[in-house]
Amino acid sequence: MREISLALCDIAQNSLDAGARLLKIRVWATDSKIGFEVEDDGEGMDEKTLSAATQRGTSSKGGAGLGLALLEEETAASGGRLKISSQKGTGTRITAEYGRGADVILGDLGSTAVTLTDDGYDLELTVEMYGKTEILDTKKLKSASPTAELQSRGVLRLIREDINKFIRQNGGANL
Amino acid sequence: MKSIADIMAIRDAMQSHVGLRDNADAEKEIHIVVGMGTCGLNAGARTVFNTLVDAIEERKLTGVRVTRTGCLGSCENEPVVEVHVPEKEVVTYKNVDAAKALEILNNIQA
Repeated sequence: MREISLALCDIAQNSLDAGARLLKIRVWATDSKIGFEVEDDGEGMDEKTLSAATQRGTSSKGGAGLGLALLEEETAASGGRLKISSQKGTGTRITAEYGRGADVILGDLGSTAVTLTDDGYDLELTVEMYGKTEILDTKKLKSASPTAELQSRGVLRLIREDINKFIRQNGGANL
Repeated sequence: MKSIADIMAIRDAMQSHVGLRDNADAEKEIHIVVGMGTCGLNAGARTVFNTLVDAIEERKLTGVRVTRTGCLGSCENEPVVEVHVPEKEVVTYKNVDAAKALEILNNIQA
């Protein structure tokens, strides 16, 4: 089974490695689709790298290079899609959407949000559950108080609990 | 989300016992690194990470920091956790789960 939240954790690490300072992530569930989008302002990819990104064996970090290749195969098989756009020096955007017949869950998005918040870049996480929307903006949290220390662990736990509660209460109990 | 005011109020309450990280002496900080590459994530590293984050809060530990990194190069042993204590050799734990993560913290506190 594919857990979207785990894939997000993985993809965000690539953004971090690419020097991103801002990550905009959207996650959605509708009656017909379940998907996510990650947009970063990291170093981006040139055309050659981009065109090879979904081929097996292409890795930015010396790994097996299966991540995006599998994502593309899975989304296509479910009647969904994977779209990657990137520009050198500007950033990268990855959109993945699955048909609802696929063996895919949102999973523990709250725990992923904790990990991503702890990564240190500004995170805008939008969760759309059957039309209802929840937004976590760590930049707002930081600007609300100049001494804000989001890594004070109580704040991270609250973020996790709030996001998972929102998903549970908006039709995502089995997602 | 809870309102920003709510979260900030809780944060302020936390600070009384967490201590401001800004003031912590970074050189004396104990650094726990969780390998969270694809291999680690699929083996449960995110649970380990969150368990450590929560336990550090609950135990009011200061001077201990958790961060993640990519693959640490021994995928068959994931989740892998490294503990960096200043002026000591790095200790690496393999096949860590939530229970083992708490034991690692116990060792640090001992």
